Amino acid sequence: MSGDHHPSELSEGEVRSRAIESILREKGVLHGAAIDEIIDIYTNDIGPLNGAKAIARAWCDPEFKDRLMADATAAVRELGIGGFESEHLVAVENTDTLHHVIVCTLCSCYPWAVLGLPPRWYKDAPYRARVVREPRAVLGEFGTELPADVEIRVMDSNAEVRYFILPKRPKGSEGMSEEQLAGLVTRDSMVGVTVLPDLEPSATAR
Amino acid sequence: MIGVHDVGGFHYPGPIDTVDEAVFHDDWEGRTMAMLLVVGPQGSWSLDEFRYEIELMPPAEYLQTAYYVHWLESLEKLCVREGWFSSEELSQRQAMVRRGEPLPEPPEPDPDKAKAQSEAAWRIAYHGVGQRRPDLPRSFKIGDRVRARQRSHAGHTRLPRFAWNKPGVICGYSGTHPLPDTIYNRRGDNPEPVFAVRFEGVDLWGDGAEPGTSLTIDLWQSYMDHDNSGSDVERDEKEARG
Repeated sequence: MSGDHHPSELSEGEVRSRAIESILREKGVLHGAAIDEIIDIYTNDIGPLNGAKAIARAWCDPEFKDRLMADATAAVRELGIGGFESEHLVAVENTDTLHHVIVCTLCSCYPWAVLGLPPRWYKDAPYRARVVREPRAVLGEFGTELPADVEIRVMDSNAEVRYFILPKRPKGSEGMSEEQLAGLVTRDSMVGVTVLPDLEPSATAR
Repeated sequence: MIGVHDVGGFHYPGPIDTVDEAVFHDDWEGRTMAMLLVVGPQGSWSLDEFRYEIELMPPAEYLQTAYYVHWLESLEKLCVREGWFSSEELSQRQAMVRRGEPLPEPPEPDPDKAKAQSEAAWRIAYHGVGQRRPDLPRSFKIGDRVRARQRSHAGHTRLPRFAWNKPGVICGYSGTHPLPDTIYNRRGDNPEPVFAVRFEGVDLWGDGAEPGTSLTIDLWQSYMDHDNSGSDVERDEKEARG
């Protein structure tokens, strides 16, 4: 189509997306505002704050933590969290001696209901290619330096299970409310590419 | 299959853009993502068939295109297969968009259908699809040593190449799930028990492995066999010592 006039410099993705939406509507496959509603849900509602709430609850409530580790799908459902790409959730815990990080080497499997849609780096080849072979080096590029004696387990989400991380609770957060704690939890800490910083620098001295 | 999507372990794949934060980088990305969720339930395809169509992309194109172009590639093919429109109709519509021509007005919206579609989309987003299947007899238990098989036939599989013929240990049971290797081309669900299997870094990557690292991946029961020969690296060292 190189001879076509390009009136508005549309990207290939934009051309194809507009064309298929137009034709699906014309053929009566697609109706109404469902597209806009889904975009709104994944832009404004389903995101990493969901996972952060579950993590903060687990830090505050040992019985909830037990349920989260035993059946994360059921446990987060108690908080009203669940949905597509999260039908079989498994939480794994990071500790002083064991660190987990998630990936999907074959495509882009990710626990949408707890973390929202994945960032681009999670879906692109470089992260998927490298984190399985050299997780320590990749974590370093995210600013995460782990002591040499910490075991690293990479969790490749290639089947129906979607893994996410229960990060270590930051030192110095003892007096905080569950809501305040949720504010500390980042998406990347639940992917496992970062650890949460301690709140009292003196307590972190090694 | 040996495909470009199976990138685990590739050397020099390029930099990781760790600061890229946007969920959607452009409106069309969001619309593409949402379109799959909304029309998917009306189609007869599975997620594995959707993935397989992406895996069939020409390798250079796969690596050089934006993530949601992969989705478009697959969605277009699946819709044509579904009989919703022909590839010629789609090409003509794309040409109209490129030329900036006005697109045909869609038919008058049907409020009932629109409502049903919104409700279905909402259910998918907040409740997901499918339910836990009944357990089937399991060939493995936690702690069993196994060896992954090889899946070099041309079809879709969820056994990545880096694990082929490698020894690992069963470390969890992940439920019973349909077999991707027969779903993608509509040869049946064939559900099987799925297990989390841990592979030591040194067994996957040899000398290139970082010390104290491992990889855990969920594998279907038919992807592996019992194997008590242990770590290849340890065995090689033992043989070298005589």
